[in-house]
Amino acid sequence: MAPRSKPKPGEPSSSDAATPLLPERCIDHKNKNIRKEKWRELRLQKNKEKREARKKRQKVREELGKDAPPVLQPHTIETLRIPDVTTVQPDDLETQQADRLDEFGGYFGREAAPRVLLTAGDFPSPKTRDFMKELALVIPNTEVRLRNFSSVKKTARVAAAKGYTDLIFINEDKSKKVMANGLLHVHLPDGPSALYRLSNVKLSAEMRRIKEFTHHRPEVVLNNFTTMLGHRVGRMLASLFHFDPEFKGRRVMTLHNQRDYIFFRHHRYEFKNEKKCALRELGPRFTLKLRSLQKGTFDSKTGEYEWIRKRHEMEDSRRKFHL
Amino acid sequence: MPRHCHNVYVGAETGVLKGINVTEGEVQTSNFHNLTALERENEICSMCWGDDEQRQVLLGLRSQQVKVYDTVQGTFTMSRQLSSGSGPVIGLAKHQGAVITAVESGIVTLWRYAESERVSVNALTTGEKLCRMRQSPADSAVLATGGQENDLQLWDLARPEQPVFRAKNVRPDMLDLRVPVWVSDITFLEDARRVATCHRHSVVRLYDTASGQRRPVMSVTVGEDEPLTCLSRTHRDHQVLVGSGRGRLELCDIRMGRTVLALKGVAGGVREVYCHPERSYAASVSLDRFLLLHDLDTKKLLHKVYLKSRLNCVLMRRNFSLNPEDAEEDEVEDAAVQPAPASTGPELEDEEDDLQIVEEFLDVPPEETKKKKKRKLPKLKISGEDVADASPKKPKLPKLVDMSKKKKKKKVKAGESKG
Repeated sequence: MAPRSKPKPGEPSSSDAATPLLPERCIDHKNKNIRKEKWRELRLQKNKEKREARKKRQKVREELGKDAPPVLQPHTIETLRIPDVTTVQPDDLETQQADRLDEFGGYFGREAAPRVLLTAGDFPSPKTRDFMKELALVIPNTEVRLRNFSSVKKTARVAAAKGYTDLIFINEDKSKKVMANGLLHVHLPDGPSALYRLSNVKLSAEMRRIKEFTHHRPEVVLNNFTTMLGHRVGRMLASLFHFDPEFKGRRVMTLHNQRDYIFFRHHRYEFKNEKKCALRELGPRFTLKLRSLQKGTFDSKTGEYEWIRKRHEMEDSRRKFHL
Repeated sequence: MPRHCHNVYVGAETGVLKGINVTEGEVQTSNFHNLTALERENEICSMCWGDDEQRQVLLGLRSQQVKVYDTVQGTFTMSRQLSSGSGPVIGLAKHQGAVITAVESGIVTLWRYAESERVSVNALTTGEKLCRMRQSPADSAVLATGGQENDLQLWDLARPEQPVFRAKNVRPDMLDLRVPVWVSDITFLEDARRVATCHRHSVVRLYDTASGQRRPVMSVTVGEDEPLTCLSRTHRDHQVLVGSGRGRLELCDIRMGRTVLALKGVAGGVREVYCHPERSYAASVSLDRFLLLHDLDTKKLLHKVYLKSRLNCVLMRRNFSLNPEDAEEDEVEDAAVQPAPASTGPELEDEEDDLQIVEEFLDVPPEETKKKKKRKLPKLKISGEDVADASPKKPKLPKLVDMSKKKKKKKVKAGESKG
């Protein structure tokens, strides 16, 4: 294992007394067998130190009881996430005002009830058709229509004229024999268009238990949409469902964002007592990943994008997330 | 922090004007609006400097209002509701103390006080909507307009019936189809006879208005399907900076006919780009709510500022610099030039500045305007004497004459600070 930076001819090498060496640096040896042995010893020593430290902490916790320092949390990618500048603060006045003047201001101001039109490509496969039927049951006030060879722009224009508030296109790539892999959500009349990659679709028929759908308007739970982009996407997805849920139906849709993947789940809940709640999963489950958010209705050639996923520029760190 | 310390001004979609003070180490932002009283109709659609000293900022709103913000006083001094055509104000300029507005429906108006003196031009004889109106740096009466299916036209306010120059579309493509036109931004190059336009169909076109050729001299395709939304000339005459709706910022060399450099850091569509005319700074503002400051020579991203609202317009001061020595030079030069206008009487001078937009309250004495005209750029003269006497605020004269000491100093300093 070569050292990371080779000392330049004029400069002193790293083994000078100026900077103390990391323990790993002592292990560098050109002979692989010797190197292996040294690493093994180092690892054993480190694990021993860890065990002793843990024993000490446990002792301290037992002794102090309630006054003990809190338990150390393990590092996960979520805890090590690079903090995002655009994280929405709850008391931020400017964001609140921007939300009021947004494309979804009408929905969140309880003026426009959503009316969704759901369609797919020209000849959707049977699985996609089943998925669309299920989505129509899951999202209230949805109509499923065949595309009839019309273009996305034309469909958006006509649907806006007819009073629909949202348009969803399910895209499938038949050459890959996968059921459906894309979802385009266009908010009408001039709202943003979000393009998602759809994956891991599981229909209710494939789930183990027998399901019963009711037609009560569901509640919507949005988890973990922290950044500005996440905030906008969360509002966009929430605007698909009616703003007045019927709590009697005990139906809940969860859109959970984790590491830029949005998981959609549909449950029926029942509170057994104050602390315990039983969940039964109904309906389809699928995963969405945002590919682009475009300002205005779908116009890929001449339109402006609010956010576009540029893999090599944006995803250079495993700890960096955008939603 | 005194208000005139801001060196970059940004207009947002929610109608908020933001002033940003960018220094080498840090960035400070302030909002100039009451955040509880925002309306969608007050979206800032265009911005420009109100005067040569860059003390006033003119804002054009979606509701066809024009507002004036005074940077020294730190307040909005004037607001005027205009009614000409329909649509937001997409272009602003000033000519002899009066404001020129261009609206989306194609009407470009010079708002002089007397209604008989108002000049109105209908730029949208063909096409769907007007997208941009820019003023020539050489002659403030010459305007360039362009829009969706409306190619570049140059208008002279003295002759409003016919455009001075009307561009012709390129020849049909290899399938013999007419090439679509959607001019999204226009810029005059330094000699003011060459005009560059960028199109939403991913081309940048260069026109030579004095040559008699109506077709573009050069047509550069930037990327594939990149809807170019904004354009700015840079400190180098042969290069322009283009921003696209997909978040690409590219430095396009018009001589070579290709892109030279792509700047990184934009995630959303670029709304406006503003390059400093002499130094290598480029400010860009995008829909992902960030203001980006790049250095075109070193290709680095100097600052990335999050500004919470979707941003529409950006302006940079002439004395903008992250190098403190440049700032000192500018101060010295500013101080040297200031005594001239102050000699007419400081109080009167201020009043004139404030109320110049609509000359309802004071008749602008002809002397004042003449003096102001003097300070504007004269026609091109290639002679050493003119350069020596020229104030630093005039744009660069051709390169032959421009190898002045000032530029050499800057290069050395740039090497030291960035080396």
